Amino acid sequence: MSDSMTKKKIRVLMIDDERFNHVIVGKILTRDAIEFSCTCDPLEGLQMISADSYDVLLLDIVMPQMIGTELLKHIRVKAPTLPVIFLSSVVDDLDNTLLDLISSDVCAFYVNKNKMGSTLLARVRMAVKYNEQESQNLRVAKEIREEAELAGHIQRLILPEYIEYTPHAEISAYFKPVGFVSGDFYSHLTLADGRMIFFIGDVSGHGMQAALYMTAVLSLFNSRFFMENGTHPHQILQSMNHYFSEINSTGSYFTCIVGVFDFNKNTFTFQNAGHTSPVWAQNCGTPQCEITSLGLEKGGIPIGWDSSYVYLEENSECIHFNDNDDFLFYTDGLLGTAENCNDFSFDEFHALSTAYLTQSERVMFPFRFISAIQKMGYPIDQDDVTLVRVAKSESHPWVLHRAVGASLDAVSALCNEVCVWVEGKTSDFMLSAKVQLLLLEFLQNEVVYSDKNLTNKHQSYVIVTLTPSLTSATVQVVDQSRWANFEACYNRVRAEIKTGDMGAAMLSHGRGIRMILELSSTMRRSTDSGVNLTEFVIQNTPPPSP
Amino acid sequence: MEVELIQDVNVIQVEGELTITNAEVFKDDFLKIRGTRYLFDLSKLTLLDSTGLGAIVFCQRHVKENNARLAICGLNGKPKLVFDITRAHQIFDILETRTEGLEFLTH
Repeated sequence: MSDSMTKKKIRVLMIDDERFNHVIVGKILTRDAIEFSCTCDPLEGLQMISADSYDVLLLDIVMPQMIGTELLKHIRVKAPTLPVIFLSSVVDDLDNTLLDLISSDVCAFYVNKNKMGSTLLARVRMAVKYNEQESQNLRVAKEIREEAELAGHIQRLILPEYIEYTPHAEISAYFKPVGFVSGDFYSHLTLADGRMIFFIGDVSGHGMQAALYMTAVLSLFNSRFFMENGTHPHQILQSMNHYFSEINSTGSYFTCIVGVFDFNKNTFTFQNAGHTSPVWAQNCGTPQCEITSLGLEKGGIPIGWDSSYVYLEENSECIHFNDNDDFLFYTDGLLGTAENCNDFSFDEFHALSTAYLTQSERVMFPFRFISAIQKMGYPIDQDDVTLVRVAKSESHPWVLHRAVGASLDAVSALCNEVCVWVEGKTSDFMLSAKVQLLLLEFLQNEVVYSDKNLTNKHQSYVIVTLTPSLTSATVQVVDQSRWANFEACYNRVRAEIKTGDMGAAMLSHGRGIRMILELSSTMRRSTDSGVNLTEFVIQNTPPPSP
Repeated sequence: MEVELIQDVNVIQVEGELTITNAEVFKDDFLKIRGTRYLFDLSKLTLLDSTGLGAIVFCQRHVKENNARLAICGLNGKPKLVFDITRAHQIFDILETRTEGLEFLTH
C-alpha cells in the first residue's frame, strides 16, 4: 500500500469574505489533494468548526461581520488546538494586534496573502505536522499524569493512615503533595518494648525524583533495617545516611527528625537532621497550653550531604513530657519561604496552635489547623505540606478508641465489641444497646453510601466516651467519607411510618437515619480538610413508648 | 431460617442477627415458603438493624399483597428497641408468645 493511500486527506476550511480568494486558495490546495471548504460568513464558519473536524483553518483578518482576530477567541472556545493560519497583508496589522496574537497562541500562524502560492501550501503542511506533534505531546502528558496519579496512590499506601492509634499513642496527620506525588514523608514504628520511633522528613526538590527517593527511604524505615545498628536517634540517622549515600546518585538529600517516644517514662529523645523544629505543646486541653520549639541549638546535617558524617548522641535532645502534652511535626511547606511576607509565619503558627490545642478533640488538630490557615487566605498549595500531631494515648477507663475498616463485617464486629464494653462498664443494657445500634446504623451508612473511591483506604475512627455518672455516652466518629447527601439525609423531616405506608420510607436507608436521630439526644458534625468529625450524645432514657 | 408448620401456620424462628449482612438472604428464603399464615418468632433474635427491619417489612408487604397474614412474637431486647424507635408496631401484629401468636393467626 502506498504512503499516500494510508494518509488521511488534509481538510482545510477557509473563512474569508472575498469569494475571489476562495477560488485562488481552493485551486492551490485542491491541486495538492487537499480537501477544501469555504465560507464568507464568520458565524457560519464557527458552526462548521463545531459540526465538523478540520485540520487547518485559513482566516481572513478584515471582514465586515467580525474581524479575524476577534473570531479566533470564539474559535478557541470550541477548538483550542486547531491550527489557524491568518491570511493577511502587513497593512492589516498596523497596531500589531495580529503579531501579538500569533506570538501568544502556539497554534496560530501567518501567511502574507499577497505571496500565497507555494508558501501557503508549505505553511498548511507545517501547521498539520505541528498539530500532530502537539496531539502526541498531549497524549504523552496524559500518560505521565496518569502514572503520577498512580505513583501518588502507591505513596499514600506506604504512609500511615490519617489517624492511627497505637497501644500508647495517637497520631493524626495532614499530608498533601503539591502535585500528585510528594517528597514529604512520616512514619512510626512501635518496638517490642513499647517505645515508638517517629520519623518525619522532606526530600529536596519536588516531583517524581523526590517522590521516588521518599518512597525508598520510607520503605526502608518501615522495614526496620536500622535495628541491628541501634535504635537511638543518632544511630538511626547514621544508618539512614549510610544507606542514602549509597543509593543517591543525583545529589539529592533529605532533612528529617528521628525521635523515640518512651510512653512509660514519658520521654521524647530526638535528633534533628536539618529539619524544621518540632513543637512541644504543654498542658494541652487547658487554657494554660504553652508552645515551645525544640532543639534549635542541637542537631546534625541533612541526610545525603556527607557520607562520612558522624551523627553524635550528644546532638540528640531528651524531653520529659506530661500525659496531656502534644508534639507537632511539620515540613517547611507549611510555613513557606521566609522571604515571602505573604507566607504563613511561625508566630502565626504559634498563636493558632495554642488556640486550637486548648480545646478538646485534639486528634482533629492537623485538619482543623490546615483548614484555618486556608480560611485565613494563605496559599498552602505551593509546596508539599505535612503536619503531624503525636500524643500519648489517654488510656482512660471510660474512653474506648477503635479504628474500623470499610467493611460491613468489620463494622458489625466493632459494634458488638463496643456494646459489650459499654454494658461491662455501666451494667446498663439499654444504654449499651442504643450505642451499638446507633454506631451500627451510622457506620453502615458510611460504608454503603460514601465515595467508593475511598473504600480501599478509608477507615473510620470511633471514640466512645462514658460520662462519669454513667448515664450517657458520647460517640465520636472520625472519617474521610464524602457522603454526598449527608446533610440532606440527616436534616430531612421524615414522616412517621403509618399503617399502610410500608413502601419507600421503610425500605430506604432513611429508616436507619431515623433510628440514629431517635437514639441520640444531640448530634453535630464538622468537616475540616476533608476529615469529618460526627459526635452523638446518647442518654440512657427509655425509648419512646409505643 | 427455621420453619415449622403448626396448625397450618408457618412458624419462622429467626435466630442470631438480622442485619444488612444477611437481610437479602432472609428475604429470598422467606419468598420460598408457601402458605397463607406466617408467624415470626423473634425470641432468639439478638440483633436487628434498620436493614433487617426492612426485610421484615418486605415480608409483611408481600404477605398483604397475597391476602395472607403475618404476625410477630417473642420480640425482646435490642430488636424490641428497634421496633420501638421506628414505631414499627403500627404496621405489625405483635404478640407476646408463640402460643398467643398461633391463637391470633388461627382464629
